[in-house]
Amino acid sequence: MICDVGCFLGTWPFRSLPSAGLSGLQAQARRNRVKCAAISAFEEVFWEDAFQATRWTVAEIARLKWAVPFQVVNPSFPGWQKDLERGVRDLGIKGIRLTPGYHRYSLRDAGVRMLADAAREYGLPVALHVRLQDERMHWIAKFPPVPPKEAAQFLEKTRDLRVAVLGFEFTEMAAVIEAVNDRADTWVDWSRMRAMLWGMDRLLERFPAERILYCSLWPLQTPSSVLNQLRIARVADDVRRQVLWRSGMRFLTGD
Amino acid sequence: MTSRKRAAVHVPGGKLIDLHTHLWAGREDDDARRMLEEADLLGAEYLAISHIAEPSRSPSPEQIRQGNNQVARWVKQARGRFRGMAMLNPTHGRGAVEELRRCHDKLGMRMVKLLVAVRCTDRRVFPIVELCIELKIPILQHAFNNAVGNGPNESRSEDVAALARRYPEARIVMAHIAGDYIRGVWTIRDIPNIWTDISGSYCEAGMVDTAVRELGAGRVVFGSDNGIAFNLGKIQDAHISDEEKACICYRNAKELLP
Repeated sequence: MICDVGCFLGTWPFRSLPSAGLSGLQAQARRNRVKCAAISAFEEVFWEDAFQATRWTVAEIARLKWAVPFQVVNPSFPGWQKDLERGVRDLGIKGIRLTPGYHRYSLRDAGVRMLADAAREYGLPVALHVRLQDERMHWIAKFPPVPPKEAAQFLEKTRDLRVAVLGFEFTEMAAVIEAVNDRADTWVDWSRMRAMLWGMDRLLERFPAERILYCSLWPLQTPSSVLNQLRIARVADDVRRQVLWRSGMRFLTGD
Repeated sequence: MTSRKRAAVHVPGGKLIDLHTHLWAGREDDDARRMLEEADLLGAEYLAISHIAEPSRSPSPEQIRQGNNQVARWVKQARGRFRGMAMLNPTHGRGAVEELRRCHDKLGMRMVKLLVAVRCTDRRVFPIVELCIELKIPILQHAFNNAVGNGPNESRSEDVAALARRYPEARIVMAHIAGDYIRGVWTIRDIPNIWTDISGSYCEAGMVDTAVRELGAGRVVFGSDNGIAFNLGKIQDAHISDEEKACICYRNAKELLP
């Protein structure tokens, strides 16, 4: 049983994807036994009127009991507070997704502090994507990943929030070990952990299983690549359950 | 209970050859043991290994020789689980050709790995390729189309294409599907003497599907660059036939490096 905190509907603007959309999402969820997933849309990242994409995403997944809508918020864009308020009030948004590299803001910006305040007020978890696609593959435009130190500072300032830092490579995670392990409601994932021998074993030497959750980045990535790293890991079954299910559910619900 | 379940990771076709792995300088034994453990777990028949002397991008003749000896030692020790690839530095000129002769004749290596000492269009690469043609052995050429900038002397897919066009009798495997796989595949699709491996540290959906659609499954091989299970996921999730998956996992590599 899997809780996946990062899936996307819609169209990725830079290349074709072999599987996408609602039917693709359902098929991969069945195949991988995903019983709960936080869903957003690529259009929420790339459209200027992102809230229109939030609306149709929520409508699209309304009949999926296991789908949890996460709203992509750009705190550098005028009026984001109103969109978030409408998302929570009218659409039942259950979490916030941030993509600073694509929206070109720093986590040190005043808007991010205001967004953290809003997340506190609404009791929403924050999924911080330090990258989506590997930046070495962005052929037509550059989208720099979030610097690890900046993410660590963000975590220090949001100790009372549930925050998942998603998409760091293994070496980059060194900068957030202290910030993550030092508090209860912070997590990392291994979706962008570069190929390495026994990667999960090594990740679990750095972070306890309670601090690690699963993010597939479907449909951008092949979920089996991410899952295989855990499948071959020399860890107890209880650790697998923690990483694949309990950590994600704690992030999503606070329980 | 701690557990590792071999059945938990499905190998399409049931057989696997990894055509792209490394022993890194200073941690050769650790790398080899870890790789064999992962290979055992996944039932890989054998892995092609070469040495990497980084941080030097242009290793000295002594580093090259010692590295190839390390590989040969592990090939012997692992009893058939490793196949050695001769790591060469084309800037060594005649010395590189002599090292290839030594690796082939005395160490039993049947494949060459070229990294980033020079771009593969550099004329110093040509004598190595010509000897590979004579010996009938394939070349694994590092290649990466990096949107944030290539390293000095790092070949791009266009460089690999130029080399393959110059030497149509050579059999060249373009490593990492050249990073930006779409550009990589588009560059080589009309050049039948280039294969590509799917190794690399990213697992972008569509990589294997695109390669098979544009090149045919016969020109795609499994390589992991030291992350076997991770890279296997790219094939597992590809929307291609089981037959095509089996070709990539095993048959193509078996033909290139029996």
